[in-house]
Amino acid sequence: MSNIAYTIVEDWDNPTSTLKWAEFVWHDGFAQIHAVLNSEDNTLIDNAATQYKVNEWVEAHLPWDETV
Amino acid sequence: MTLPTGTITMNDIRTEYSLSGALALGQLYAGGSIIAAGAGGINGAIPSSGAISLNNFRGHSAPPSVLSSVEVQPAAKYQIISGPRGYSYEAILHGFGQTYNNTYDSTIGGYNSDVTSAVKTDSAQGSIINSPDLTVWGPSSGAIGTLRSITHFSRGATQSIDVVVMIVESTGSNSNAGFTNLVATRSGMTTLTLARSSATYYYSSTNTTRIWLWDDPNYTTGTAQPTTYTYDSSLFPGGAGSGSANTTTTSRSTWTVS
Repeated sequence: MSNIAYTIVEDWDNPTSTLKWAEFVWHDGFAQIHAVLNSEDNTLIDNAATQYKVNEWVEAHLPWDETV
Repeated sequence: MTLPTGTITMNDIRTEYSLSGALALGQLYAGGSIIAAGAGGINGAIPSSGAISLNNFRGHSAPPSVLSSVEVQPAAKYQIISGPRGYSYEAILHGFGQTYNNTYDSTIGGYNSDVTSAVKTDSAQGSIINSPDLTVWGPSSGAIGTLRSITHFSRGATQSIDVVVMIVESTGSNSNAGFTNLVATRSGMTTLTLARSSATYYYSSTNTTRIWLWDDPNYTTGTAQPTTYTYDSSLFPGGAGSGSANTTTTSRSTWTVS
Protein backbone atom coordinates (compact mmCIF):
# COMPACT_ATOMS: atom_id res chain seq x y z
CA MET A 1 0.00 0.00 0.00
CA SER A 2 1.29 3.45 -0.85
CA ASN A 3 1.65 6.10 1.80
CA ILE A 4 -1.59 7.74 2.90
CA ALA A 5 -1.39 11.51 2.76
CA TYR A 6 -1.96 13.20 6.11
CA THR A 7 -1.60 16.58 7.73
CA ILE A 8 -0.72 17.39 11.32
CA VAL A 9 -3.29 19.50 13.14
CA GLU A 10 -3.33 20.94 16.61
CA ASP A 11 -5.99 19.95 19.08
CA TRP A 12 -8.81 22.42 18.59
CA ASP A 13 -9.54 22.83 22.29
CA ASN A 14 -5.92 22.66 23.43
CA PRO A 15 -3.82 24.20 20.67
CA THR A 16 -0.78 24.70 22.86
CA SER A 17 -0.70 21.14 24.20
CA THR A 18 1.57 18.39 22.91
CA LEU A 19 -1.49 16.53 21.68
CA LYS A 20 -1.39 16.61 17.89
CA TRP A 21 -3.58 14.80 15.40
CA ALA A 22 -2.77 13.18 12.08
CA GLU A 23 -5.70 14.00 9.80
CA PHE A 24 -6.39 12.17 6.56
CA VAL A 25 -9.22 11.68 4.09
CA TRP A 26 -11.64 9.00 5.18
CA HIS A 27 -14.86 8.07 3.41
CA ASP A 28 -16.96 11.21 2.93
CA GLY A 29 -14.93 13.27 5.38
CA PHE A 30 -11.80 12.80 7.40
CA ALA A 31 -10.39 10.94 10.37
CA GLN A 32 -7.98 12.03 13.07
CA ILE A 33 -5.69 9.74 15.05
CA HIS A 34 -2.89 10.66 17.42
CA ALA A 35 0.29 11.81 15.75
CA VAL A 36 3.45 10.17 17.06
CA LEU A 37 5.72 12.57 18.87
CA ASN A 38 9.48 12.59 18.76
CA SER A 39 10.70 10.47 21.66
CA GLU A 40 13.38 12.99 22.60
CA ASP A 41 11.44 16.18 22.01
CA ASN A 42 7.68 15.96 22.37
CA THR A 43 7.22 19.29 20.67
CA LEU A 44 8.22 17.62 17.42
CA ILE A 45 6.37 15.11 15.29
CA ASP A 46 7.98 11.78 14.42
CA ASN A 47 6.87 11.89 10.81
CA ALA A 48 8.13 8.43 9.88
CA ALA A 49 6.33 6.82 12.79
CA THR A 50 3.20 8.85 12.15
CA GLN A 51 3.20 7.85 8.48
CA TYR A 52 3.55 4.21 9.48
CA LYS A 53 0.72 4.56 12.00
CA VAL A 54 -1.60 6.19 9.48
CA ASN A 55 -0.85 3.53 6.88
CA GLU A 56 -1.43 0.77 9.43
CA TRP A 57 -4.69 2.35 10.58
CA VAL A 58 -6.08 2.60 7.08
CA GLU A 59 -4.97 -0.95 6.25
CA ALA A 60 -6.67 -2.22 9.42
CA HIS A 61 -9.90 -0.47 8.55
CA LEU A 62 -10.28 -1.73 5.03
CA PRO A 63 -13.20 -4.08 4.46
CA TRP A 64 -12.15 -7.51 5.58
CA ASP A 65 -12.80 -9.10 2.23
CA GLU A 66 -10.07 -6.87 0.86
CA THR A 67 -7.51 -7.96 3.42
CA VAL A 68 -7.79 -11.75 3.20
CA MET B 1 -39.47 31.45 23.71
CA THR B 2 -38.73 34.50 21.68
CA LEU B 3 -38.75 38.04 22.98
CA PRO B 4 -41.59 40.23 21.69
CA THR B 5 -41.13 41.98 18.38
CA GLY B 6 -43.13 44.93 19.69
CA THR B 7 -43.00 46.46 23.13
CA ILE B 8 -40.27 44.86 25.20
CA THR B 9 -39.20 45.26 28.83
CA MET B 10 -36.21 44.30 30.91
CA ASN B 11 -38.47 41.81 32.63
CA ASP B 12 -39.01 40.04 29.30
CA ILE B 13 -35.24 39.56 29.08
CA ARG B 14 -35.09 38.35 32.69
CA THR B 15 -37.74 35.76 31.89
CA GLU B 16 -36.09 34.70 28.61
CA TYR B 17 -32.78 34.10 30.38
CA SER B 18 -34.24 32.89 33.71
CA LEU B 19 -32.58 35.79 35.53
CA SER B 20 -33.62 37.51 38.73
CA GLY B 21 -32.72 40.73 40.50
CA ALA B 22 -31.29 43.88 39.07
CA LEU B 23 -30.38 43.84 35.41
CA ALA B 24 -28.75 46.66 33.46
CA LEU B 25 -28.41 47.04 29.72
CA GLY B 26 -24.67 47.21 30.24
CA GLN B 27 -24.79 43.55 31.26
CA LEU B 28 -26.41 42.57 27.99
CA TYR B 29 -23.70 43.17 25.43
CA ALA B 30 -23.21 40.27 23.03
CA GLY B 31 -20.23 38.21 24.08
CA GLY B 32 -20.76 39.00 27.73
CA SER B 33 -21.76 36.66 30.50
CA ILE B 34 -25.44 36.58 29.50
CA ILE B 35 -25.78 37.13 25.76
CA ALA B 36 -23.79 34.93 23.42
CA ALA B 37 -21.44 36.46 20.89
CA GLY B 38 -23.13 36.88 17.55
CA ALA B 39 -26.65 36.90 19.00
CA GLY B 40 -29.28 39.05 17.40
CA GLY B 41 -32.95 39.81 16.94
CA ILE B 42 -35.21 41.24 14.25
CA ASN B 43 -33.22 44.47 14.25
CA GLY B 44 -29.90 42.81 13.60
CA ALA B 45 -27.00 41.89 15.80
CA ILE B 46 -27.00 42.77 19.46
CA PRO B 47 -24.05 45.15 20.01
CA SER B 48 -20.95 43.88 21.72
CA SER B 49 -20.05 47.41 22.83
CA GLY B 50 -21.21 50.99 22.55
CA ALA B 51 -24.81 52.08 22.26
CA ILE B 52 -27.34 49.44 23.23
CA SER B 53 -31.10 49.58 23.77
CA LEU B 54 -34.07 47.31 24.27
CA ASN B 55 -34.74 47.75 20.58
CA ASN B 56 -31.74 45.49 19.93
CA PHE B 57 -33.50 42.60 21.70
CA ARG B 58 -36.80 42.54 19.83
CA GLY B 59 -37.33 39.08 18.39
CA HIS B 60 -34.24 37.67 20.07
CA SER B 61 -34.29 34.16 21.56
CA ALA B 62 -32.06 32.78 24.26
CA PRO B 63 -30.24 29.69 23.06
CA PRO B 64 -31.69 26.46 24.39
CA SER B 65 -30.00 25.17 27.50
CA VAL B 66 -27.60 22.31 27.00
CA LEU B 67 -28.28 18.67 27.76
CA SER B 68 -25.19 17.26 29.45
CA SER B 69 -26.48 13.97 30.78
CA VAL B 70 -28.77 11.24 29.49
CA GLU B 71 -30.06 8.02 30.99
CA VAL B 72 -30.02 5.20 28.47
CA GLN B 73 -32.41 2.28 28.34
CA PRO B 74 -30.29 0.00 26.20
CA ALA B 75 -31.12 -2.43 23.48
CA ALA B 76 -28.86 -5.17 22.21
CA LYS B 77 -28.50 -6.22 18.61
CA TYR B 78 -27.03 -9.62 18.09
CA GLN B 79 -26.14 -11.63 15.08
CA ILE B 80 -24.04 -14.54 13.95
CA ILE B 81 -22.34 -13.47 10.78
CA SER B 82 -20.15 -15.11 8.19
CA GLY B 83 -16.58 -13.99 8.08
CA PRO B 84 -13.49 -14.74 6.07
CA ARG B 85 -12.04 -18.21 5.72
CA GLY B 86 -15.40 -19.83 6.37
CA TYR B 87 -15.64 -18.82 10.00
CA SER B 88 -18.76 -17.54 11.69
CA TYR B 89 -18.59 -14.75 14.18
CA GLU B 90 -20.86 -13.37 16.82
CA ALA B 91 -21.42 -9.65 16.92
CA ILE B 92 -23.27 -7.55 19.45
CA LEU B 93 -24.24 -3.91 19.26
CA HIS B 94 -25.42 -2.50 22.60
CA GLY B 95 -26.74 0.89 23.53
CA PHE B 96 -29.07 3.30 21.81
CA GLY B 97 -29.28 4.79 18.36
CA GLN B 98 -28.35 1.62 16.53
CA THR B 99 -29.96 3.01 13.41
CA TYR B 100 -27.54 5.91 13.41
CA ASN B 101 -24.67 3.55 14.05
CA ASN B 102 -25.81 1.77 10.92
CA THR B 103 -25.96 5.02 8.95
CA TYR B 104 -22.30 5.70 9.65
CA ASP B 105 -21.14 2.09 9.79
CA SER B 106 -18.62 2.34 7.00
CA THR B 107 -17.19 5.56 8.41
CA ILE B 108 -16.83 4.09 11.87
CA GLY B 109 -15.52 0.67 11.09
CA GLY B 110 -14.66 0.50 7.46
CA TYR B 111 -15.74 -3.11 7.52
CA ASN B 112 -18.44 -4.46 5.30
CA SER B 113 -20.73 -5.39 8.12
CA ASP B 114 -20.78 -6.51 11.69
CA VAL B 115 -24.38 -6.54 12.79
CA THR B 116 -26.33 -6.10 9.56
CA SER B 117 -28.51 -3.18 8.60
CA ALA B 118 -31.71 -5.18 8.96
CA VAL B 119 -30.89 -6.00 12.54
CA LYS B 120 -29.66 -2.52 13.44
CA THR B 121 -32.72 -0.80 12.04
CA ASP B 122 -35.43 -2.99 13.51
CA SER B 123 -37.93 -1.52 15.92
CA ALA B 124 -36.18 -2.57 19.13
CA GLN B 125 -33.90 0.44 19.56
CA GLY B 126 -32.44 1.72 22.77
CA SER B 127 -33.99 4.87 24.14
CA ILE B 128 -33.36 7.88 26.37
CA ILE B 129 -35.37 8.14 29.57
CA ASN B 130 -37.75 11.12 29.78
CA SER B 131 -37.21 12.03 26.11
CA PRO B 132 -35.05 15.14 26.65
CA ASP B 133 -34.14 17.51 23.82
CA LEU B 134 -31.18 15.72 22.26
CA THR B 135 -30.50 18.62 19.89
CA VAL B 136 -28.66 20.52 22.62
CA TRP B 137 -26.26 17.77 23.69
CA GLY B 138 -23.02 19.07 25.10
CA PRO B 139 -21.13 20.16 28.22
CA SER B 140 -22.27 23.15 30.24
CA SER B 141 -20.01 25.34 28.13
CA GLY B 142 -22.22 24.79 25.09
CA ALA B 143 -24.06 22.30 22.92
CA ILE B 144 -22.05 20.38 20.33
CA GLY B 145 -25.02 19.06 18.36
CA THR B 146 -27.73 16.44 18.34
CA LEU B 147 -26.87 13.26 20.19
CA ARG B 148 -27.73 10.39 17.85
CA SER B 149 -26.07 7.33 19.30
CA ILE B 150 -23.91 5.91 22.04
CA THR B 151 -23.10 2.29 21.39
CA HIS B 152 -20.73 -0.39 22.61
CA PHE B 153 -19.89 -3.09 20.17
CA SER B 154 -17.36 -5.47 18.79
CA ARG B 155 -15.94 -5.09 15.34
CA GLY B 156 -13.28 -6.42 13.08
CA ALA B 157 -12.80 -9.58 11.11
CA THR B 158 -12.48 -11.54 14.33
CA GLN B 159 -14.75 -9.27 16.36
CA SER B 160 -11.74 -8.80 18.58
CA ILE B 161 -11.99 -5.04 19.01
CA ASP B 162 -14.38 -3.57 21.54
CA VAL B 163 -15.31 0.03 20.99
CA VAL B 164 -17.56 2.75 22.30
CA VAL B 165 -18.87 5.25 19.80
CA MET B 166 -20.65 8.56 20.27
CA ILE B 167 -22.34 10.05 17.22
CA VAL B 168 -23.31 13.73 17.17
CA GLU B 169 -24.92 15.46 14.22
CA SER B 170 -24.53 19.19 14.07
CA THR B 171 -24.49 22.11 11.73
CA GLY B 172 -21.39 24.14 11.32
CA SER B 173 -18.38 22.83 13.12
CA ASN B 174 -16.48 19.81 11.87
CA SER B 175 -13.88 20.08 14.60
CA ASN B 176 -12.71 17.45 17.05
CA ALA B 177 -13.65 19.65 19.97
CA GLY B 178 -16.31 20.80 22.39
CA PHE B 179 -16.00 18.44 25.33
CA THR B 180 -13.37 16.89 27.56
CA ASN B 181 -14.85 13.62 28.80
CA LEU B 182 -17.75 11.27 28.23
CA VAL B 183 -18.51 9.48 31.49
CA ALA B 184 -20.69 6.41 32.03
CA THR B 185 -22.11 5.52 35.43
CA ARG B 186 -24.55 3.02 36.83
CA SER B 187 -25.05 1.54 40.26
CA GLY B 188 -22.67 -1.37 40.57
CA MET B 189 -20.57 -0.40 37.58
CA THR B 190 -17.08 1.02 37.71
CA THR B 191 -17.34 4.54 36.38
CA LEU B 192 -15.95 4.73 32.89
CA THR B 193 -14.33 7.97 31.77
CA LEU B 194 -13.61 8.35 28.08
CA ALA B 195 -11.42 11.35 27.28
CA ARG B 196 -11.90 13.09 23.97
CA SER B 197 -8.14 13.25 23.68
CA SER B 198 -8.06 9.42 23.70
CA ALA B 199 -10.59 8.96 20.93
CA THR B 200 -10.25 8.45 17.24
CA TYR B 201 -12.24 11.16 15.55
CA TYR B 202 -14.23 10.97 12.34
CA TYR B 203 -16.03 13.66 10.49
CA SER B 204 -18.65 12.63 7.96
CA SER B 205 -19.88 15.31 5.60
CA THR B 206 -23.15 13.38 5.39
CA ASN B 207 -25.39 15.31 7.76
CA THR B 208 -22.25 17.03 9.08
CA THR B 209 -21.69 14.33 11.64
CA ARG B 210 -18.98 14.15 14.26
CA ILE B 211 -18.08 10.72 15.59
CA TRP B 212 -15.78 9.84 18.48
CA LEU B 213 -14.61 6.26 18.88
CA TRP B 214 -12.77 4.77 21.81
CA ASP B 215 -10.89 1.51 21.30
CA ASP B 216 -10.66 -0.77 24.28
CA PRO B 217 -7.00 -0.02 25.08
CA ASN B 218 -8.17 3.39 26.11
CA TYR B 219 -10.22 2.04 28.97
CA THR B 220 -8.67 -0.56 31.14
CA THR B 221 -11.49 -1.60 33.42
CA GLY B 222 -12.34 -5.15 32.56
CA THR B 223 -15.85 -4.43 33.71
CA ALA B 224 -16.38 -2.30 30.68
CA GLN B 225 -15.96 -5.03 28.13
CA PRO B 226 -17.83 -8.19 27.33
CA THR B 227 -15.35 -11.00 27.78
CA THR B 228 -16.78 -12.94 24.90
CA TYR B 229 -19.42 -11.95 22.46
CA THR B 230 -22.13 -14.18 23.79
CA TYR B 231 -21.78 -12.36 27.09
CA ASP B 232 -23.34 -9.13 28.05
CA SER B 233 -22.01 -5.59 27.92
CA SER B 234 -21.59 -4.15 31.38
CA LEU B 235 -21.95 -0.69 29.90
CA PHE B 236 -25.34 -1.54 28.43
CA PRO B 237 -26.41 -4.72 30.18
CA GLY B 238 -29.46 -6.77 29.57
CA GLY B 239 -28.84 -8.20 26.16
CA ALA B 240 -26.78 -11.30 25.55
CA GLY B 241 -28.10 -12.55 22.31
CA SER B 242 -31.53 -11.01 22.41
CA GLY B 243 -32.58 -8.66 19.66
CA SER B 244 -35.39 -7.23 21.70
CA ALA B 245 -35.56 -3.93 23.53
CA ASN B 246 -34.66 -4.11 27.19
CA THR B 247 -37.05 -2.65 29.75
CA THR B 248 -35.18 -3.56 32.91
CA THR B 249 -34.63 -0.36 34.85
CA THR B 250 -31.43 -1.65 36.47
CA SER B 251 -29.93 -1.91 32.98
CA ARG B 252 -29.98 1.85 32.56
CA SER B 253 -26.72 3.74 32.57
CA THR B 254 -26.16 7.47 32.73
CA TRP B 255 -23.85 9.16 30.24
CA THR B 256 -22.55 12.62 30.97
CA VAL B 257 -20.51 14.87 28.74
CA SER B 258 -18.30 17.44 30.40
